[in-house]
Amino acid sequence: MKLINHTLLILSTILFTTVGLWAFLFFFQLFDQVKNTIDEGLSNHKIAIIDNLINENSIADQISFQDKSYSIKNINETYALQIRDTYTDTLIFSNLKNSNYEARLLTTAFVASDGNYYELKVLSHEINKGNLIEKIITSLLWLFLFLIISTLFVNRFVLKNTWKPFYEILNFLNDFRIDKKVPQELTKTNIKEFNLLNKSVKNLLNKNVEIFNSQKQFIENASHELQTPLAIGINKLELLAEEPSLSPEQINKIGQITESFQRLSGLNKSLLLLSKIENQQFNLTEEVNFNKLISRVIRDFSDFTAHQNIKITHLQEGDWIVKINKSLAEMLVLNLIKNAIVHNQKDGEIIIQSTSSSFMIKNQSELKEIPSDKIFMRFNKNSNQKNSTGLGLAIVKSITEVSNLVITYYYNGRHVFKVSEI
Amino acid sequence: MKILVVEDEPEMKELIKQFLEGENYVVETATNFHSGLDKIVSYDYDCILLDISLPDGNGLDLLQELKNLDKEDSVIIISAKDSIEDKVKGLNLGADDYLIKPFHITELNARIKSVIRRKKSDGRTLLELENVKINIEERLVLINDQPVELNRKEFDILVFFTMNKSRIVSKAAIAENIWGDYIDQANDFDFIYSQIKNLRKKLRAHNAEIDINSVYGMGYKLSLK
Repeated sequence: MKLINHTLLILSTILFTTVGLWAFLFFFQLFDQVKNTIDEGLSNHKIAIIDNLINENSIADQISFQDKSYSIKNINETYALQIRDTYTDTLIFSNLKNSNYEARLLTTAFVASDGNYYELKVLSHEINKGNLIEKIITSLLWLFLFLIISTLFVNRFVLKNTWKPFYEILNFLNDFRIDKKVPQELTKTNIKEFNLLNKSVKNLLNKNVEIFNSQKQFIENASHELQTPLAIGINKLELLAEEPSLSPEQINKIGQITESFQRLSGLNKSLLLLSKIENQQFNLTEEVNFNKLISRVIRDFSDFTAHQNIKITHLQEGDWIVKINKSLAEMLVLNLIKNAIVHNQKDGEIIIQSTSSSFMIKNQSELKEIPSDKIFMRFNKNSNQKNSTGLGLAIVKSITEVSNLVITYYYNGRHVFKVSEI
Repeated sequence: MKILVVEDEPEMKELIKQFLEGENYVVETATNFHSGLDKIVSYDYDCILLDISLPDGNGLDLLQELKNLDKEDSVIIISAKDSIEDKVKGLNLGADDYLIKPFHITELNARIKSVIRRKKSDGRTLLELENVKINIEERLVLINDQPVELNRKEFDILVFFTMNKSRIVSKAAIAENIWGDYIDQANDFDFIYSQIKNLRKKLRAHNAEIDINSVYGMGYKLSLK
């Protein structure tokens, strides 16, 4: 749920409950007031009636309210003395309407000039509660409608505008990539908190970008600095192996050390390559036909695959031509095919399927399925291939990222890598 | 044959010097831009090995100087930087080759030899080793003046071996030289064995006076019978 809608929902709930409760109270208050007014009217009416009757010589009992708004009944003294003025709600049957209606009834007693005591009941006009409620509800509904419209209005124009910088910074953070330059400036607002947020986010990002860059630089420098001592080591060992006095075992040991050095050097080269790719040092692009590239790489590896007795089948269903850096495209195909060969089994098979918008490499392997979120991670070794650097697929991933391509991996009995456009 | 090594790393410089002297070259060294420039201006060399990142200047500028002086010394750039731009720049400035550190010493040897050979060839590029003659341009091999059929890779391997005769050539060096850089981490180089086996068979069948021996743990060695 959007923040704006969330606040709107809370606000509306509170507003509507309050107004609803208020309406309830208002109704009772109003009704009370109405009763009071009616009672006062009854009291006045009573005085008028009594004034009218008090001097009459004989007052006839009048039990029903039929044609007058009061009834009179002769009563004895003791009973009369007990009577206080009381107002009650009562239901009266109306012949006219042929139904009951609600009214107020004042019961009182008086003594006439003839010395007789009388009970007087005065009836008010009809109180239409239903009508009242209906009126109140109608006006309340109008009020609600008005409130809804005004909150929507506030939401649409005022809140949305107020929160605009917030959504801007959200989008900004969403688009942010640490390996890209920090893009456009955030728009200034006159809301202090948002300006502060913008500033803090900017500071945070800049600091992170700085750390990221210096780390990248560190990797590149470290790899660079390692090259020369490695070169010296390898070359010295190669010269040492030629000493005539060495025994075959000693030469073998030198060979093993040389191999380790070479592995180190390979690892180093891959790391350098990775940081170069990530530093966007390959930015010249040209049109590359992946189909042709794949065919060439298969040819280049043919001696290697023939030795391992691995069969590569290249199904060409179309030419995929992409604008990409040529070296990167080569490394992409090379690393993927190399990966498929190295992790294949003896007498295994690789199927490469290229279409006009993607290519797919399916290889058999003794390895089980690899979680797709781990497979492209650096140094994520899934085999005990001693010569695998664990960087080949990380390089592939980096290349696809800087070249606007996507690589996906899945397992269906074979390991499948698919490269396609975004 | 005179070779100048311009390399700021003292150990690397010594190593190359020692190796090249073993190959019977006259070797001179320079450790920075200025001493390199001095030597380049004053003497002629058959080949200059040039490190492009020098403490007091860029090796590519030395190359430019060389060009300005109209000198025809062959130049092989050796660099720790695997940068395409540098490579293109260097080759455009007239360098004959570009080698990235770390390299196999046998690879350096082969590159120097082919650079020198190319310049001195005058059309006659025959490598001779006992009764084996190799014409590199025409890709012909004669043993006892009889042509021998070799496939492309067998031929390249034989040339690489003849350029490094009586040196131990590692499998990795062969793989990189013949199959290219990308194979460098190809894990096991056993696949080159079948090519070597075939080559060896053909050499023996034609009674060549050279042979390829295995050096356990390291690689192979071309030896004279």
